[in-house]
Amino acid sequence: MTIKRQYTLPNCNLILEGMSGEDINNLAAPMTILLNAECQFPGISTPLVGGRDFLEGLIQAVNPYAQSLLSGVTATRATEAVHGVSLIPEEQGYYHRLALAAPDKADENSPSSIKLTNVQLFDLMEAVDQLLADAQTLPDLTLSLSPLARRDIRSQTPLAQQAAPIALGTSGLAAAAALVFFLPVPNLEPIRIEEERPTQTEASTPTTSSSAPAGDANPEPTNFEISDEALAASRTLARLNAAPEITDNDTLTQLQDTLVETLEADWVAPDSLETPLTYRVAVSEAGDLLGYRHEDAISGENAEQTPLPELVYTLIDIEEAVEEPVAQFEVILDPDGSVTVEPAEEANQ
Amino acid sequence: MQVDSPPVESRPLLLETLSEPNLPTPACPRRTQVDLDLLLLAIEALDIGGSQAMLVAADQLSLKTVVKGRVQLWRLRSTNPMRRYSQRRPMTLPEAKALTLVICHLSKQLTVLIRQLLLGYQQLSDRQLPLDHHFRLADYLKRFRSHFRARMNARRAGVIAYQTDEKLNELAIDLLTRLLFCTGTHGPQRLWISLFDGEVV
Repeated sequence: MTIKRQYTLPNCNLILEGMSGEDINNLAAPMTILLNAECQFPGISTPLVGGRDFLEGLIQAVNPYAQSLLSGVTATRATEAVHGVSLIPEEQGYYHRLALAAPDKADENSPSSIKLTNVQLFDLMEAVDQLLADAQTLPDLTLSLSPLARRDIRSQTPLAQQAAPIALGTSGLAAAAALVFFLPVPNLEPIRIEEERPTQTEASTPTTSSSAPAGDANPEPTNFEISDEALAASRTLARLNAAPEITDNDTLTQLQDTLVETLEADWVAPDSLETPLTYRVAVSEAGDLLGYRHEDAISGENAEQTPLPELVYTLIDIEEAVEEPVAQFEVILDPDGSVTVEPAEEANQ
Repeated sequence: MQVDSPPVESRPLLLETLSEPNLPTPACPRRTQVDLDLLLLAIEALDIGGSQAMLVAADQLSLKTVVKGRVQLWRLRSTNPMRRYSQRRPMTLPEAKALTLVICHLSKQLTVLIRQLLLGYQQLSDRQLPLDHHFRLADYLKRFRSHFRARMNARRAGVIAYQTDEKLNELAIDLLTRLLFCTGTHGPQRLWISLFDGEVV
């Protein structure tokens, strides 16, 4: 007794004829032997016909093709036509060509290839899916899908396009190198301390040598009081005067203690020193030393010997107003190595 | 009996129907995140209540443990690196599976419309007529374009390719075709496997 199974979709009919290999009288027995498979597309008069080979070929053509449509990724190796059934995209438009390499000899009119639209192709896939999901028909056929491996895909961009960035980069580098080659070697001069740019970093320059290494108009060592650095320091402090003050007594005490601790650790009085050195310093809330200024000539001369130049933070933009609150202290460094820190009487002096 | 830890949330059984791909990394590849979000965007362009329907679908498929709500759904979709407010977080496999199932569920509901639009597109392009001859199709394309432009970061390399209306229309039709292939019996499996094409080792 032959069993007929039909999977009907709007644009594709898949008709299978076969028989049960088991008990012939058992109507519920699954169809295990396929005699004839027919794939009809309404509007196309002659169906594709074949045996089990044709059906298997159809399934193996549809699966990877539908997958590449879904993912947009094409395999490097074109899927070989299994049992003569192949499915390839049409040259133009959203069409697909289902081809049968060896049409059934018995039927001369059997078409060798059919042009399918997206919807027809989907219906063909759905007919195949329904067949695969049907446990009553050819239960040995099941859906087996696997993603394409990385090495099996064709790169989305052609090789020339891939090479373009590398070529561009290399030639750009070469061009830049060629240009730079013709540039004169910059004449490095020691940075002159400009009056408008007072900096604490330059505090490491010995003040005794008037602290103006490059082209100061007045290089006499006695003239430190109007030296760049002195001016710089006082400007910094003047600027810091404009900053809001820390008024919290606890914070002030804490800052004071920290400052004493830090300075005591680093302060080593030079042998020649006889009088105490006095500085006014500005400290941020976090305890960072933002600026300092000597209060008398001897302190100015010896600033370099104190830990202050090492501790002070470099301000990036000297003209920028200081927003964060600062506290000002009077620091007295004694020749015997002791350190006294007191809140400055008049911060805005 | 004293219980120290909160009860372990059971994984939705439906997720087990999708196989684990052999990925080099534990999280989803970038293309998976892009594809899932774009397919959802196409669904929104097809169906005005699309974003609400996604939450309803997640509820019906008992995926609430993965897609917890609107915000979670938005965060999942925002893993798409093309997005204006892209979230730099990986998408886990269960999350991707949940979105795959939601997409297939919704596309099945929209089968009739998807087929109509694709048939209409085929007819128009065969006769080389402009696409606005088909009212419903033109509507879909217009909405897709505006959704895409509103949500994607126009400065990203992947988005720059879709600057013109024509390019966006092509993308919209491509997504429509893919949605059609999601509507089938094995739609979820086929979509899921296709997301990892060229990504597995």
